[in-house]
Amino acid sequence: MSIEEPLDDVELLRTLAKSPRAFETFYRRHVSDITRYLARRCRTPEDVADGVSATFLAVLTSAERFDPERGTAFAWLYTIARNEARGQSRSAGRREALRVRLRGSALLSQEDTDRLAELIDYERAAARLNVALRTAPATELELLDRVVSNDESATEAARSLGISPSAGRKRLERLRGRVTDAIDGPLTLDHCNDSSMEEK
Amino acid sequence: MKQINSINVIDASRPFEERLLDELLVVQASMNGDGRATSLHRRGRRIIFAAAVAAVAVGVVVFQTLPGSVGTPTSASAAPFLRQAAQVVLTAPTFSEQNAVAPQANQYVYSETEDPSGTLTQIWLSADGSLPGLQRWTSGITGEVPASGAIPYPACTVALAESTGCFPQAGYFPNMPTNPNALLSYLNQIGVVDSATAGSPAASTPGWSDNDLANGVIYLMQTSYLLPAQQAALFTLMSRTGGFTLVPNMADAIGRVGVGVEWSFEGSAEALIFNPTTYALLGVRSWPGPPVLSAPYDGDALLGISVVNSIPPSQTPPAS
Repeated sequence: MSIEEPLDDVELLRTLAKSPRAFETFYRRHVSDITRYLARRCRTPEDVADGVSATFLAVLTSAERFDPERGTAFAWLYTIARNEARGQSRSAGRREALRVRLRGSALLSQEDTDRLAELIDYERAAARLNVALRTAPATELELLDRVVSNDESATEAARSLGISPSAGRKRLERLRGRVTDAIDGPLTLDHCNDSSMEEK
Repeated sequence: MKQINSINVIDASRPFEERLLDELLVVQASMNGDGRATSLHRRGRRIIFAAAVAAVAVGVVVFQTLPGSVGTPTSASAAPFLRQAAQVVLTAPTFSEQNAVAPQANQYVYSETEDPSGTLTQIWLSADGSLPGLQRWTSGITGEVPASGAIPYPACTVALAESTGCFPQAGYFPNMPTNPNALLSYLNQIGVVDSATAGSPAASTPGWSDNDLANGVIYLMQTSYLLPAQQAALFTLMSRTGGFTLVPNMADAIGRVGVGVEWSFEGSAEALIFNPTTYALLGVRSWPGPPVLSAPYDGDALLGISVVNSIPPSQTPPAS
């Protein structure tokens, strides 16, 4: 008995408009990433859910037009999701009609709403954390790296970097301040355009 | 137009993503002229957002304070104690002596600390920060601490700290104001505290000012030579911050019992421990959460600070 090789995304996109199995495989492969991606850009669980449903509807209606010569399936999918998040999708006709009829937000239970709200918080915090760490001074990141990667105490990390434990403590405090500021502060991102999700 | 999914009752036992797949497969079937609701999936597999959680958890783990120590909880404000400390250091018998031995630019400030494992840390800081300093440590008897060694400190004067943002490695700050308000500005200027960010989200975090100032005080009191008036100004600043509580009996890392001045920040707690008579700093203790008696001790005891003329000639690590 041979083990069936999983189909790659290009092969799935070629057939998924007609094949429930192909669509389900593609959906399951990417839905959590797309949900996380939209959670970074949307303000509410409802917007995330609508964005996910709109993205995969677009996959259903557009998959046959996917051209692997112009880019990867992964990039194509994220472009769709990004356009949905920005409200820049240019859908029309049948797809638009389907989008109006299938709204992800109508499928949300209270548990889903809570979970997606939490995910939005996590993703936005993670994005801000990323920005804060990218812009932090190397001296603070070196300390952080030693504490995290080498499991060193702040004292040990400071010592191995040639600074006093109290200076190391201050540097970590500074970094903590930066991260706290970043997590609680404003974040410049493309956000969901709420109006794009409304029925027309 | 009627929505495909305008259902009144949602099957909450399955996550949104599973229900959406159901609906998308219905759409797909309708697109293909197939009226059947084709659904191949039979189980509700929860989508786990572990990556997102992990990304944030890194931040949490990173900033956990080191293992904690022992303390007697109290809600008494430490402000009266700190005000008293400011008075006492100005009138102590050692006042004149402390002023008289103020370090010269070519001298070094030497400090010694010991942690509960017995590790002794010695630090020599150039008085004005213009010369490299040295940290040397000798491992304790438990073997749970880093091997003995020595590391030179880079030079960083106050002027450089102000212009380049390096951490001042000076052992003495002759221009440090003794007026508490001016002192706070100065400490911000040289980067020892960060209260200048007041109004930022971090500064509005409960306990930020206490934690920020206290860490600056630790930095100064553990490795710098402070004139009595400078110490008094630091105590006064702390008394005005308002978030410090008093712990009457708190032992330092080598068992000396003093008075703890404790504060909390983002779930962790720390304390400065002072000699109840002279108000000299005995040491520092930390807890990863609220102070609990059973927590392992994390912190160190300050054995002394003095002014010396030189650092050890060799920076070769001593034998382990």
